[in-house]
Formats: sequence, structure tokens, C-alpha cells
Amino acid sequence: MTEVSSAPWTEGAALEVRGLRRTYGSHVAVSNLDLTVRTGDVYGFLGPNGAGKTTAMRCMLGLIRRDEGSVRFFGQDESVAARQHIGAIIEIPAFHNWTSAYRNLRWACAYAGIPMSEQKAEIARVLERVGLTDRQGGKVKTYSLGMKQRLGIARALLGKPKLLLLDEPTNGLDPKGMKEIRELIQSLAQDDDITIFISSHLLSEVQAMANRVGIIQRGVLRLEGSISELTQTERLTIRVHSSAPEQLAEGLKKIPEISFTLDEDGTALVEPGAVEPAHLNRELVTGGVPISAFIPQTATLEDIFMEATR
Amino acid sequence: MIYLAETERLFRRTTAIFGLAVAAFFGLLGPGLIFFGNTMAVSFGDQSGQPITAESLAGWDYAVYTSFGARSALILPVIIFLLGGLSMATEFVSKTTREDLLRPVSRVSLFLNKWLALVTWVIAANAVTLALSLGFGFVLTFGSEVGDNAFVDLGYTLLVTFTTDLGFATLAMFGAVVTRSVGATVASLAVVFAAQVGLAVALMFWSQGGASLVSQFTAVTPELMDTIMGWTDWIALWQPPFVLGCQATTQPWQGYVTLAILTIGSMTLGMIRFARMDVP
Repeated sequence: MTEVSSAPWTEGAALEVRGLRRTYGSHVAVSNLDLTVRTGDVYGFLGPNGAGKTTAMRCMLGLIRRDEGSVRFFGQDESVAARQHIGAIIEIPAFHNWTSAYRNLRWACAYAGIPMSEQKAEIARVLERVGLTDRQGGKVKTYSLGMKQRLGIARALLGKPKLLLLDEPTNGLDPKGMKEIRELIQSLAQDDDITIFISSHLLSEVQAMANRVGIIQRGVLRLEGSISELTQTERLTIRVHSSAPEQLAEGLKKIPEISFTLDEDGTALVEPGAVEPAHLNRELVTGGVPISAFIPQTATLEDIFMEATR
Repeated sequence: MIYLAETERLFRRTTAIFGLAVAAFFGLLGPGLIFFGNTMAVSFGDQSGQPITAESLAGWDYAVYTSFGARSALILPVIIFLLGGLSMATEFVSKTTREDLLRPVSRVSLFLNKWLALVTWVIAANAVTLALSLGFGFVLTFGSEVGDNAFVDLGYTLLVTFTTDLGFATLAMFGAVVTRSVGATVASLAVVFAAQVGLAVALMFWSQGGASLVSQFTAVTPELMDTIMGWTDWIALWQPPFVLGCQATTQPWQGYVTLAILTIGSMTLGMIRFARMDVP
């Protein structure tokens, strides 16, 4: 593996990916991917189905080979030792379905390097955290998909990881199951101070949980940043309503560098570009346009996603 | 700790439990057959008309040899092959190997611990057969006298059986790592045994109808035939003990060298392959 990206490493980051590339024959699944997850982030890794999210996560975790690029967890190159601080779920978590949840977790404790004397307490802790204490003796094959996802999160929490990587954790769940998982993830981030990297194609899910996002399409990262910054800076629009639509249209035409569309009911949707909303408002009022509503509208995550994946 | 987890997982497999039951069956089979043989001899006398004495009856050592001879013939090697292969292949298919690799554990360590778990099972299976054949053998032969080298021969039998089992198991694990498929693992077992059957058929042809053809061929091209015969003898000398129904104790030492190369080779290649492969 070689380092092809010139992006510098970030101090104090939980996860950093630089120049990640993975191909399958002539198909480029992930190309020159750079991303940074800061400690404390809930990072939404967004992309349409087949964008390369899961492949990228498998590469980050060393499950599949990277053609190029580097991955660091808490400043440490991806390795067996670095995985000590990480919990992960890739796609639907797999278990030994023929035996109990407790035994599955006990075996996972062995792999996590948790001493025998501490395993019982650790299993009790994670089961309580995900609300499966009462069902720990049941065979996993009797679990619903939602319960399996929660059990997967419980397993990922063994050993008190500082970073959780979750690949589409609400995929296939009913609305109630989605809500439960969403609340659990939010609680883990807020109460347990766990940095979370969550991939999804469900924008509403990510918007409800994440503070930062990266949007990937066809293996290439299109956009990365905090949701608040992106929604404020990307595609600001202003909804302006007037009882005199003709006057409103004339007034808007006089202002350079803006574009607008006008509805029949006298509402204009203005894209101000570089023009400040206050300046726009002042120009219309001093021009004698009767303004009954002037509503700046920031872009939604959906707007940003659609723009980035267009 | 990984070793304990892997061992528990392996021993809870249906194939493993069935295998131990089969090992127990063969442990009882040897003493049973010897007891039956001794009883028949006492009841009906020796075929040559000689009087039956305590020395002429089979002792407990024969019970143990019979048990191990029978268990190595086909069924136990098949079970060991299946267990070795399936312990890897089913976990690729169920994706539990992927889950293990998400933890702070190296791939070499995971492979070695799975192999050690398999070694433990082989020891357990042989211990079951030994304990039952020895215990019941001693009881059912009423502690009959045994030959001077009985303990040496017993140790040799155990060693040969154990190493042969490990050869089978390691080959199966290697096959499972390469194919990552339950079906292919079972198919590779079929290929191994088909090769054995093919060899057996070829030998039968050789010893019967083929002999006249060989003599004609030898008469026409004696030098070429000598070369072929030389190669055949050489191959027979170096074939691993599990070829031709695990007649392990009758093999020359060269067969064990081949077995060691196969075992260590498949172990090394299996680990290298596993360390580098994608586990999505």
C-alpha cells in the first residue's frame, strides 16, 4: 500500500483515511478517498446504494485489501493493536445462530482480549446497554432483525471501544426498530462519549444523528463537512412574498447577480448568490415593492446530497 | 482464550459430537470382536485341532489394535476431514470469521487457534477410542497375556493414527481456506476418496487381469517396463499413510516424511493464503 494523498494527518482525529483506493478488476470501487473523523463526532458516511461505502469501511477495518492508501485510528496505523479501540458492524451482524446470545458474546470477549474474570460483568454491561438482558439466554436464531442489530452493537461495545463503525445499522428495520437503534446510537455518543462513524443512504437518519457528513458517490468523496456549515453555506435561497407580483419581479430584475423564479401567487424563490439577504431586502423595500414575507431558507441535507451526487 | 473459545465452538458442532460417538463405537468394537473370537475359540477349539491355552487367546493389545485399525479404515478419517474443512468453510459462509477479524486478533493467530482446537478434538477422539478399547479389552480378555512389545506397538499405533489424523485435518483446513465453500470442501473429500478408490481398482487390475497384459508389454519393451515398475515402487514407498484406507502401521518411514511435508506444507500455505485473502 502506498500513500498517494497529500492531505495532512489531523491531530487528535479518531479516524483518518488518506488516498484509499480499491479496485475489482477494471471496476474502481473506491478512489483516492480522504476523510477525517474527529474525536467526539457522529460522522454520517452518506452515499447512494453501490457508492462504495461498505467497500471503504471493509478496507478501513482491514477485512479486504487496500490497493493504495492509509488508515489511522487515533493516530495509529490500522493494525491488530489499533483495533483494540474499535467496535464495528459491517452489514448485518453475523452470529453463531444455533447458540445463545450470551455464549456468542463470551466468545467475542475472548477475541476482544477481555480477561475471563471480567467477561461476565462486561457482557452484563453491554446487554443492559442495548436492552437485551432478558433475552441473553435465547438462541440467536430466534431473534428478530432489530434484536440482532442490537446484539451486534452490544458485541461491538465489548471492551469499551472509543470508536464505533456502523454500516447501515438501520437497514431492513421497521420504523420502531429504526427509532430504537437511532436512540441507542445517540445515547452512545452523548452518554458514553463514543465517536461514531455511521454509513447510510437514509438522509433523515443521518440528519437526526450526525454532526458531520461525508458524501461518497461512485467511490469518490464528493463533500465533507459539518451539517450546520454545509446547510448554511450551500445553496441559500430566500422566499419572498408580495401582494404585487409584477412589482416584485421588476424589483428583483434590477438587482444584479441574483436569479429567481416567481409563482402565480406572488412568491419568489430567490437564489441570492453573493448578495447579502439584508442588502436584497433593502433594495426591494427602497424600490417600493410591498413585501409581506422575506424568509431566508438554508439548504437541507437532502439538497446537499442531491447536489453532491448529481 | 481464543483457543478455548475455538475449542468450545468446535466441540459443539454436530459433526464433532457425532465423531466422538463414532470414536466410542470403535473403542467398543475391538474388544467386542476379540471377545467374540476368544469365546468361539474356547467353545469350538482351535481350527488346527491344538488345545486352547491362555497364551493362544488374543489379549487386550489385540482389542486396541482392532479398534484403531477399524476406526482408521474410513469413517473416522472422513469425519476428521469434514470437521477440519467445515470448521473453516462454514464460518466463511456464515460470516462469523469476518466478525472475529473485526476484533484485535491477527489472522495467523485465528488460523492457528482453529487448528489447535482441531488437534484437541483429534486427541479427544483418540483418547475415547483408547480408553474404551483398553478398558473393555482388559476386562473382556480377562487380562490375558500380551506380547513383549505390546506397549511399544501400542504407542506406535497411537502416534501413527494421531499424525495421520492431523494430516487429514490440516489438508481439509487448507482446502477450506482456498475454496471458502462448504460444497467445495465436501467435494474435495470426494476427490481424495475417489483417488483412493481409483488406485485400489488399478491395483486390482494389476493383480488380476492386467498381469497378462503387463507380461506381454514387458516382453515387448522390457526397459520401459522396468522404468515404470521402478517409479511405481518408488511412489508406493513415499505415499502418505492415509492412502489406501489408512493402513498406517504397515507403511515405511518414507510415507511419514510425505505426510509431514503435506501437513506442514498445507498448514503454511493455508496460513499465508488466509493472511492475505479478502474476508468481506
